[in-house]
Amino acid sequence: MDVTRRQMLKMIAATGVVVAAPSLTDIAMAAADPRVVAFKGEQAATVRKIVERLGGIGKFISKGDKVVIKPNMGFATAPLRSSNTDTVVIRTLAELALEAGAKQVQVLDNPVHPAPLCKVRSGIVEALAGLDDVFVQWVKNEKFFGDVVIPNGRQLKRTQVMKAILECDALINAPMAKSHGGAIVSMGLKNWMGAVKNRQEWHSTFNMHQAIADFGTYIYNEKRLKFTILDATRVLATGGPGGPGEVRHLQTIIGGFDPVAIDSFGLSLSSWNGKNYKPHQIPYLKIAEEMGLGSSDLSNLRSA
Amino acid sequence: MKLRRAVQLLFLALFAVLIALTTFPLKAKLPVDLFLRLDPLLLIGASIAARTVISGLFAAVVMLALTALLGRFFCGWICPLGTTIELTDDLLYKRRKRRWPNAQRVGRGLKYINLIIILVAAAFGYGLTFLLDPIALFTRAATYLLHPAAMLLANTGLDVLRPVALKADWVKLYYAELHQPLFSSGSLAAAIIFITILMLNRLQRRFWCRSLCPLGALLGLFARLSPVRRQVGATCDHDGKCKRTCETGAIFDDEIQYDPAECILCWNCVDDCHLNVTAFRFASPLPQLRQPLDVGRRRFLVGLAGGAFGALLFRSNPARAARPDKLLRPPAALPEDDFLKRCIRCGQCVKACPTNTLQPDWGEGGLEGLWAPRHQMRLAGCDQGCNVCGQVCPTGALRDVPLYQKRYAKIGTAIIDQQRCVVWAADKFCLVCDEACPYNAIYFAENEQGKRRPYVDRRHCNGCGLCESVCPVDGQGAINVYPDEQIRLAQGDYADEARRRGFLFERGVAEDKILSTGDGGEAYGD
Repeated sequence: MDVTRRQMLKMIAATGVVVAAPSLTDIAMAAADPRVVAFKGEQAATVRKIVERLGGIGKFISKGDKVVIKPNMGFATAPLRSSNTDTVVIRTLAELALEAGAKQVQVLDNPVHPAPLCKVRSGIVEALAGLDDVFVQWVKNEKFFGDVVIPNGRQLKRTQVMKAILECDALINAPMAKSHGGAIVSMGLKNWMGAVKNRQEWHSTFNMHQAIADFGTYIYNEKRLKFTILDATRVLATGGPGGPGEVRHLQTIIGGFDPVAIDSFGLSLSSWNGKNYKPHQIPYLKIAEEMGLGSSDLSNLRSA
Repeated sequence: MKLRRAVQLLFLALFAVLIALTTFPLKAKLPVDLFLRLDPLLLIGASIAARTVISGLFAAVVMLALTALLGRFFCGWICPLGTTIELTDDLLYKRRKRRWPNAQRVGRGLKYINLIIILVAAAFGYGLTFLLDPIALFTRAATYLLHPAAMLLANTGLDVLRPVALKADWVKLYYAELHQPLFSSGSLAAAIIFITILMLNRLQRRFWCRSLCPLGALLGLFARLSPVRRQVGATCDHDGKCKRTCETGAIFDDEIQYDPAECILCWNCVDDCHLNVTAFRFASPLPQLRQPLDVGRRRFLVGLAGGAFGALLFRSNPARAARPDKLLRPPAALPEDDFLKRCIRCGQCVKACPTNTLQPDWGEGGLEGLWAPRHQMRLAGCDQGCNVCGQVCPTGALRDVPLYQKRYAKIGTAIIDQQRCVVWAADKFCLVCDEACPYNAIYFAENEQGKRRPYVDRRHCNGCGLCESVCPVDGQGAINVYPDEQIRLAQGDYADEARRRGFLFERGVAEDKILSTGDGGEAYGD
């Protein structure tokens, strides 16, 4: 099924959409095992609706779990500048984790901008205020990172990942969709660059697109990674990752398990720096698909 | 004397608190450079060198007047270095045999030579005062050595607690860190001078104060005018105790006469007098003004020659004519010559700098620039929401300008090294400098081969160095700030000057990388 962007956005607005695995043609089965779910609406309610469609928070988080949420919050910018994941989306995910009985929720990123500035200006500290056992930290010091081997990596074979991520019971990927001067777009796969200590070498030593896919072969094989919520409430269509740039109010949230499908779906929602892209035109999506991380095939689109 | 020790500890604590408060944002009610502002030697030395009265230090004349009235009370009651010397002495040397007996007058004249050297060098146009002024050198030791060491200790303590915090799920404690300043090896030299001064007590108690301190010499000259005089009753039995316990060995062999230029009013002689016949009373200073000073013609000439030679040695510096590439002074530093004459190397700007980009100079600017602040942009950039360095400078070597002006006090210009840049040289996907630039001075455009490449728009680069600090290339960055087109003004408006030269550094372009509320508590966002 070939849909235009306009049709797709209309569909999301009307009923929400589901992308099923290519073999699953039955709508009922598609709804039961979605690769991607997308809805339009107010952030808190939409996040809850999507997590419900993915199986309900109780399927992912048990009582007493330590949970880590990894938003994209690496920029010391005000929320409406849209270089960080929407604060309501982050808060709703934290609330869901607590409702499922999580003992502790850490909201973590290794920021591009200085940590104290992110704390002051991102609005995330304020958004999470009043939630006991929820901690937001911008983490830079290497003492908070531990060594990781990436056996299937082609270029990135080892790196250091936040210890809290290595030691948690449940991990939630909570990126946002934005244009990116180096990677064209930044969504779910690119978000993990903020989970490692040495993000610089992804730029300088490796082919960044390959490194993104390499890290994907590690993190998406980790059982503790439960699902991705891709925030497209306000996408930064130009000037990303830091902006300032054109902010488009799509008011859409996407969830799922297949990193390539989620990012391909997000890619289809907007033009990026004025150009329209197919998934295979984004090198890291192409490589990730080749390496078996998921499928960019969105043809099994259904009303949710 | 118990009261004196209590007062000493109080002032030492105040000194430490003021150093701790020398930080961004500046919240202290008192001037954090209070002790420096009360130091008349800095006032005189730096003013002569700079050929102008340095207004920030003018309060120090009060100290001279009080010394003429009361004597060297500053040394005995207030000086934080003096107190530290006494405390170290109590701890390490009290029970040890000294090199010389307490009352023996050894090398007293050296401090006058030091004073003359400083004044003569200043007359030759070089502010050598910073080298031996006790307040400057102690502040320097505190900012360059003691504070970083204290932070290292505290952070090590936190590291020890971290596994415990992890087990107990104290997440905030687990992530707790204190800002750890890192300094170039110049701080070691400052530390060695400081520690040597403490170790000189092996020779005599307070040997530094008796024989070397140029501020002590200056205050001693004024103390000779003081009408507060030590007087001993006729019943004195000459048991010699006062001679042995005098902090500075100011009492002569007859135990009656003493040298008011040496006396720091410790009043040990009063407390230890078992007959209670010693007291300080008002009396005419005239008879003792006729006492010769510990500085004869020969010493005077040595001082003169030393000052001239010192000025020559420190000023004969090729950096003056051929400025090193990477010698970047803090924003709103005076033109280099004025800056070096005024800067007393107290290190307060370096201490207060929130990003650690300011470092004590060690060699880049030659002897002349010793310990003066300079940027180490590879370590960190200059925060565009902060102007604290000018706020804490006691001498105006760095001008205290509003935040807006500071942003226009252009430090230099970032230049891309196309041989090292991974985009230019290796076609990598890097945009880190562009992400960091607060003024969008870095842009990507197609080069002749149609490849997307980064460029610097010099009109929007004020040399803050954020790009250089984040460049992911190993070693020296592929984008570096050079002093090109720096704006250094002795007076006047930086924004006007910069605009006249065609520069524009406006936030709102990318104000996200600009910290907080430097002046006026402004908060800006969307």
